[in-house]
Amino acid sequence: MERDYITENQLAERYLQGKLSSREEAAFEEAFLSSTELLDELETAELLSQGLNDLAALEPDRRMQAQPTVPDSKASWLASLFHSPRYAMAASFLLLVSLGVSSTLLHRLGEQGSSHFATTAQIVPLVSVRGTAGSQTVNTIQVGDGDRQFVLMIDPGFDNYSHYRATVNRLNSATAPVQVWQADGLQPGYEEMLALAISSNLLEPGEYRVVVEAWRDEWSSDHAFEPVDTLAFRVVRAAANP
Amino acid sequence: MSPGSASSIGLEKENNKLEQESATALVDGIRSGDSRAEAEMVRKYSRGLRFLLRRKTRDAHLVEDYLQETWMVALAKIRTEGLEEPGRLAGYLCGIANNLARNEARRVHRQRTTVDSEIVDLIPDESSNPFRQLSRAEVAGQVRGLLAELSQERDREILHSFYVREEEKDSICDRLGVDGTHFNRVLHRARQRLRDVAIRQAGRDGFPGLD
Repeated sequence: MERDYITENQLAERYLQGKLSSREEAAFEEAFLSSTELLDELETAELLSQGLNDLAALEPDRRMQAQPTVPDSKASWLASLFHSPRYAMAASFLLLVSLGVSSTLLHRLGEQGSSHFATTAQIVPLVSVRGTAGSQTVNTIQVGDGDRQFVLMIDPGFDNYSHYRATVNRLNSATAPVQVWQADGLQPGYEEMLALAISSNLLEPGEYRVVVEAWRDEWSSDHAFEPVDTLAFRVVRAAANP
Repeated sequence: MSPGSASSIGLEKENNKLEQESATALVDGIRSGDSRAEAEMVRKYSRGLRFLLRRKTRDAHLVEDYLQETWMVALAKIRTEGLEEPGRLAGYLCGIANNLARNEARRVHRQRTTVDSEIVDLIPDESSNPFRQLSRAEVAGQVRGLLAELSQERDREILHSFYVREEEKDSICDRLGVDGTHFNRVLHRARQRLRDVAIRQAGRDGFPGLD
């Protein structure tokens, strides 16, 4: 298979989208199996697609600002998102938030039952930080005076578990970490990420750790939860408007 | 050398010929009992097979099972009979992997593949692939930065239309009034940027073979 043909016809992206004919697909698979360069291109296209789709689902307002030339109406764009099972969970949640609609889904996500959940939720993808302690402040949440909901999105990794448990601890130099929130029975939803809905009432300014653990149903009851990841975030008070 | 130039086409044909010769040499080596040829075949094609199986099964555990099974089936056949078209070894391996992935859809319960520890030892670990090491949040952050760097709103629209809305290239070019070359350039630059990030990150984290 010629490289020009692959590039000109975007075979990498069309393969990822499942749009190749069976003949093209077979030829393309044979080509990328033998080519590190083509595999790099394919994996990069996959990352780019994943990143753009994540941003589109997580930041619908930004998406709307970035499409002034698209003739579709807002309604048809919302409909197209809802029609994609891949983004159904995130889209339904986020769009209801952006439209100011309170719903059962929002309250279910907001386990602590805040009555103000609908209009003030903010999505926060938590980055698993590698490196020095100084870089641990990459995840920062700004809280203001009013009650607000934060949805922390966490990548639980590749392994399959029956469910997950997440615990949010506030770090305190004088005492042991203080648990401020915990949820068990969590399942990956949107794009296989865990969504933790937490009220700002629980988040005083300071340093926090989210401990994610996992459970398999086949384990005996005396088995311990398996640690999956620990993520750091910092809560700061938003500067008051002048 | 630009893509499509006479010299690049010549080089490409030469590469294809070399690839076929390399595949034939591997098959011949395995047929004659050369364990180094077996190890080289597994090393060379495992990454692509893993990608293919991941796309088809969407299950990390099945991917590893089927990867082992692909190698068990392929090695048994090549050791005893060889291949009719040894130059198309990659196509043969894709065929096995696709059959395994297709058959899975018909099976509700599946017994785990018997583990062949010798084959497992040959298969490179997934952690050697830098593209699999970035978390979703890191990728989203990088893409957000990439979009911010684009000076033209039109270029952001190209990426969004193609990757999120899955609109066809011709339709996007017509609607936005850009030609195919510009479209390809935007895609190429965006991919190149992410590729560099993945490689750089892998290098920082000390992945083998990356400086």
